[in-house]
Amino acid sequence: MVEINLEHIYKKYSGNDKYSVSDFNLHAKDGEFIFFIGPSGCGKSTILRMIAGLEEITKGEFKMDGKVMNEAAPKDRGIAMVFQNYALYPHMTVFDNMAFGLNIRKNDKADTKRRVEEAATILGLNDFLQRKPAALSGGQRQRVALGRAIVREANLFLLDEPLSNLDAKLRVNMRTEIAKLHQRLGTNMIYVTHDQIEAMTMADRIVIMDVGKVQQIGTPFELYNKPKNKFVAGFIGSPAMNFFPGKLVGNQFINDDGVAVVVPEGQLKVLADKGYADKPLTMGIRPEDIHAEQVALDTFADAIIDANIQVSELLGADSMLYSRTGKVDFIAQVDARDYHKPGDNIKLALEMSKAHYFDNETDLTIL
Amino acid sequence: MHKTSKWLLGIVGLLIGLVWLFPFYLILVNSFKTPKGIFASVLRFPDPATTANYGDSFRALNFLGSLTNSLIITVAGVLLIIFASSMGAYALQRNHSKLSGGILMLFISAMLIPFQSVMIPLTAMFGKVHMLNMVGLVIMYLGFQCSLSIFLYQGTLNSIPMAMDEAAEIEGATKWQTFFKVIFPMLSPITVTVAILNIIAIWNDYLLPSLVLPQSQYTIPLQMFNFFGEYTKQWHLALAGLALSILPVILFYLFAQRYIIKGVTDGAVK
Repeated sequence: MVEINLEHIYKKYSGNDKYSVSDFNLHAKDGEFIFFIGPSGCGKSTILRMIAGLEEITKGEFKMDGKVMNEAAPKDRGIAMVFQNYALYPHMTVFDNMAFGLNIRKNDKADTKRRVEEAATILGLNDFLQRKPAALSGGQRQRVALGRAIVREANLFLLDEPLSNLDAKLRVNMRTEIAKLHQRLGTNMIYVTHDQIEAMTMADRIVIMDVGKVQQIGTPFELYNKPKNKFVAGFIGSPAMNFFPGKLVGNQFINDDGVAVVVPEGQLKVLADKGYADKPLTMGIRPEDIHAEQVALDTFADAIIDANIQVSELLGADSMLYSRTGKVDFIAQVDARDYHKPGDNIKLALEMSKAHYFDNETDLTIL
Repeated sequence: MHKTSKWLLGIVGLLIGLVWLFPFYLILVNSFKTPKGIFASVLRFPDPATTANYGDSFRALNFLGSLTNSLIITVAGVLLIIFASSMGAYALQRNHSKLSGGILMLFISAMLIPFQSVMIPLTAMFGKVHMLNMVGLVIMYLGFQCSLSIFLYQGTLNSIPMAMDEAAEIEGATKWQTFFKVIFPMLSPITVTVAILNIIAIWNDYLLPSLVLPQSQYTIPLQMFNFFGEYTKQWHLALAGLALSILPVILFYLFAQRYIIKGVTDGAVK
């Protein structure tokens, strides 16, 4: 168990004039499960590799339990890492793969055997210990990679997109297993992924990144409900939040695409206080906060927009209406009973109490 | 149609196989003949057959002595080449600097230099430092054969992900341990290829040993030349000697066959 501090971390690769990571700060408490998410190339794996000691830190300090670890060799950091392609040694049995780190450190043979068998029991690998990785399925290989980390009894687990090579069903299973594993071991874990569902379901806190910079750090709930800026609002949630550019006129949010909806009083007051009356801004609303059922149309009668259905998807319980109003495309996630055919012109109600507002220049959240 | 073409293919294959095997047939058949028998007909089966050639050749070649010399030179040379070129290729492949790229190109371009153009100055140099012996020869082989071996190793290393090294590094392995416990075992298919190529080249080599080795350290191919005097050629002994000298290579091939075929098919199916 360990406390981790990353203070003003910068990374610049040689031959590159821009920083790949800039001013990254994170304090991870004991036993926390932290997720790094963001689009490809946002620097999330780079930070993980800097924590592991596989990449040099250009500027800033990385501390474990208050001790600066920038120069410490990977093996002296007390970390275990699970790689995207598992990095299992193909010529060794599952047992030897899991025991490798302990054997290298000349650990007592009997103790190594006990630890490998314990980890194998946790992961259900007991019957496969004498097999080579080539004779295992994808999910089993993933388990061996996890086992290798467990056996080490490391203070910090680093997982670099560990589930991205698995098929969808297996991924859901392994997600639960990793979450269980974290509860059982209580070890700090840092997990890099571009799959926000993994992050939302397992994380204590999520670090969301874009172009080498932290956009927001918070619990899944905070990121979803109180995004700091338009990027976070658009990245978290599937399908993504809809954005409508426009401005406040009187008590309404209006734009040239024919959107004219009444803004609730509380929101209106805050926006006016911050000087956004008559000023261009962007309104954001999540697909699930747009409704098509009659009772909602009656309830939110002052927040109705006309929409033309472009594509509709029936997902079982819900249906996704890919719609257009004026020149703006947006998605509504409605009850499956409110399914509409492409080409239909319908009315949709926006649940404005759930709306978010963003500054057009800074993209920061106003409300 | 399908069946006919299969048959045709089989027959063509058989014919090609026979062409390949024909020299072996000549060696084997004639090694059991008397000199007279050879000159009577090269192709015919031995009549009368004699095994005396083998005994005579064995003694004339000082077979045990020259076999030992051949074995020492081949084994030492091949082990050294595998050891040096696998590590060299690993260093060059994993280190992405411009210098490594340059060195690799240098190795590859060295393959183009014909041996004959450097053999005289090379032997002169080794002579100056009193290295015209087995040790000198092994060092020369290391130099000559490394380029191709590094090239082969480098190609295979390209397909081994860096994550392997990094996983081992995080688990506490030193660079040496990473190489010998993780990377080198993964290179075994190409190691077998490198070994075979070099064993064949060194075992059969005549020219370089003839320039370097003193008579006491003669290898089998050098001894063989004793059968070809200026005025007489003792074919019956030479062919028996050849059959004897091919034997170790064939034994090695039978032993390594499993790995050679594995090397060809490994990685074909993921």
